[in-house]
Amino acid sequence: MTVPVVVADDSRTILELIVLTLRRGEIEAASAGDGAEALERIREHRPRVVILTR
Amino acid sequence: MMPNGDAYEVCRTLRDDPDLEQPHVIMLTASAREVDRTRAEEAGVDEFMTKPFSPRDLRRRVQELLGSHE
Repeated sequence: MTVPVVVADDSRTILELIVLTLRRGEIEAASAGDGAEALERIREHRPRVVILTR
Repeated sequence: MMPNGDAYEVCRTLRDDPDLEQPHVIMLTASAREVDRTRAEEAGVDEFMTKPFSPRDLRRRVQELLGSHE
């Protein structure tokens, strides 16, 4: 299944907050804990929106 | 926060990938310093939100981008 949003942060707390917030708006998001995983998720899901933190 | 530079590297790498349909990239940043903004724009970041951020504002923005208004 592809999802429209990929979120990347190394904080599990922040990731869960963002994913849950989006889900309440009926938006599915895949999460990634580092840059390499973010690129994997992006290539897997081909999202329309990517959220990165720094 | 991902390791320093990681978010820029991710953005640059995906922008350089001709096989990807390019997504809209939002960067959440703790610093609004101009130097960071310039670096992010060079990496291909489309827009910024400064931390602490409002999750609802973020969701609203994503809904706008996806065309799925509440």
